[in-house]
Amino acid sequence: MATDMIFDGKRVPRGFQLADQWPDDVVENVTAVPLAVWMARHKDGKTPQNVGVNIAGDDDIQCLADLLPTIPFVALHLPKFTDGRVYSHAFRIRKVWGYNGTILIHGDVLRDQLIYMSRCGVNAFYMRDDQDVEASLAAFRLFSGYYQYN
Amino acid sequence: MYRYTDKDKAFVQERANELRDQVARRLAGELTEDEFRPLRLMNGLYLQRHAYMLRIAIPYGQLDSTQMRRLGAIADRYDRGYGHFTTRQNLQFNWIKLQEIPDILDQLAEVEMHAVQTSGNCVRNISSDPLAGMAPDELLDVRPYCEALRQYSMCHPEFMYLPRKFKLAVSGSAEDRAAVAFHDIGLRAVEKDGQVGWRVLVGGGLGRTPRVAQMIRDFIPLEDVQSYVEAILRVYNLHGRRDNKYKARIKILVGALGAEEFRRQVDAEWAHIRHQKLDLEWVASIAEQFNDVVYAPDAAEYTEHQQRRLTDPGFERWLRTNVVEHRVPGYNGVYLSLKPMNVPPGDLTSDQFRAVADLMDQFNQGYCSTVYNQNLFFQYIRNEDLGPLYDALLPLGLATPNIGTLQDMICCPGLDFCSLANASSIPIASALNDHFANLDELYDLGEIHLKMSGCINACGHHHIGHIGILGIDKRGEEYYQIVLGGSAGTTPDDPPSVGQIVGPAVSQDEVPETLERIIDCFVANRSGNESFLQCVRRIGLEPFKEFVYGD
Repeated sequence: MATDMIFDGKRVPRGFQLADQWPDDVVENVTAVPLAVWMARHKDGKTPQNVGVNIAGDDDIQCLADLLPTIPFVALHLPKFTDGRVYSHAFRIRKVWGYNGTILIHGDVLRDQLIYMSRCGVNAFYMRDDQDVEASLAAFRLFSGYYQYN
Repeated sequence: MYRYTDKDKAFVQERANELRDQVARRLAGELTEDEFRPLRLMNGLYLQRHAYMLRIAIPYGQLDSTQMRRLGAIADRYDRGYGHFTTRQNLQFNWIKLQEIPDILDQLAEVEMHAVQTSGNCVRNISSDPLAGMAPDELLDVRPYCEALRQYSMCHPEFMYLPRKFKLAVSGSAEDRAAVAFHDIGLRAVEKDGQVGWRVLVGGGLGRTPRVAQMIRDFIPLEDVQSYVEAILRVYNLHGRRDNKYKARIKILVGALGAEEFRRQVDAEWAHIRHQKLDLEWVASIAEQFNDVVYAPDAAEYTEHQQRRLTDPGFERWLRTNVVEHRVPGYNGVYLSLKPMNVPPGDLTSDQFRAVADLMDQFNQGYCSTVYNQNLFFQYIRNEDLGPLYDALLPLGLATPNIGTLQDMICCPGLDFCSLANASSIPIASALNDHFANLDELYDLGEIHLKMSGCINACGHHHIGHIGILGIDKRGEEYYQIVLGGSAGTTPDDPPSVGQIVGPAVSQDEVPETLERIIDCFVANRSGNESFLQCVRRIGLEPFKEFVYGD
């Protein structure tokens, strides 16, 4: 089980948790729950200040547009590395809606896609267990510039 | 022609370096084939029946002589001495070794070329009008916009893992020579209230589910093209089907939502990004680079080629068939036919690459363009150079006077190369050429677009041939289904259409005879000077069915 992640271009210990249900003891700003769970809590009027949202490819994230300032971090699940929906989710959250917090990606995260994710606004990466985190950092040094979103 | 900036050079080289590293990791077993496949595909690398195929991008079909020579050198060193021009104006090498790919990409980068996004589920290399910049019927030279979109789409971080491949075509003349109605996005320059802008078509395509693209915007300003394309891509990336690759193209999404609802969703995305205008001053600076052609003011004074045509029937036929009008008096456009008899359509040998490069330098200001119909095109030929060019092309086998005729067929590589094909299309093409060899008869038949695919993926565009031939597998044998009445849709009088099946599939031996009957039926029913397509559209399929299958 991997213990490190890439965070803002550096290798650091993993600090986030992904839960299916609302945690009993909320540790501030480290746990994310599925979008539906988060929204249900929100609709109950209990604005969940300290819990992140975990988004799946299928999720319609339009409901988050105005809530982002209250969300400590966003997690994106990548079921298969070829599933490109996460890129549009990340792009909308970061570039269209201007979210400033952490966007974490987890699942089938491989080094050859890191740079696209990063350029769409993802800044935290839980690599797939077999990936070499240190070697993956090389992805950030491959290009001296891009045509879009340096 | 557009010249790479330092940034372009660095990017293309770094992209080649990235693939070099990925190939090394694949060869070392660090990447599985499943993980490697999308990476190689988005760099133009297919695994075919016998070897790897590398598809090299020719952005919007523009080539210079240095590049042409380099392609010939690569054909010699890494392939078997030839290359194959495709219907999307690109070039394929069919006999490539994986371990040699990185070196080939380095050599391409040296001459400002690459193979990025010629395959894969991403925005593919953009195709356009080979006559751009010289066509008399041109409203807008679209090449600078194609270049802007080339840069915009190259490794766009959001759109490298789309549900399926995504093809753009851009056309700026009254006649559409880029088949825009059969692309995922087709852009046509149009004029409205004195302003030039874009008509936007979405959801066209061939393959298993042929569809004519639907217009979702009759006009957007020139500077909005990039943000509008982005909005379309975002909607498609989020909502295109990913559960079934045969239903993953944008045409299926547009069909399921309906054009109206699709447009509504696109507009909702567009509202967020519409302020990101294309910098038209920058586009103008790119346009400057395409305006480096020098025209001689006295070119029209030379008329001796008109004398020669009276005494040289071959030259006369070539002028009529392969030469088109130029907007500048005294200049001409010339098609180089890559459809000589008994050679796979679209193929060029390395010697021909080099010879064509020399002719580009000698007669065409160092340039040429590639054509949807798998031919080459010289855009700037002076009257006085027509004769010498013809004399030079003839021994090269590149002056066959058959552009637009039955012989000018589009044909995929088929079973001979492709791992997908059911049937071999090249032998059929050769048999047809033997059967319809009389050039005078061909000319009398007028314009007939024959297109042939070796399988349902329709790389040979059979759906939009006036006559289309599709190879199918019937109990282990190669059979051929024939469709009639398709068209890429070139002018307002010729709307895009998908061909209809004329009857049961026939065996390989029966194909030439079947075609002959179809032609006989056309001749018998032809009214005045009408074209084959007009005739089919007027009389319908029934007379052809009777002629072909009647007895």
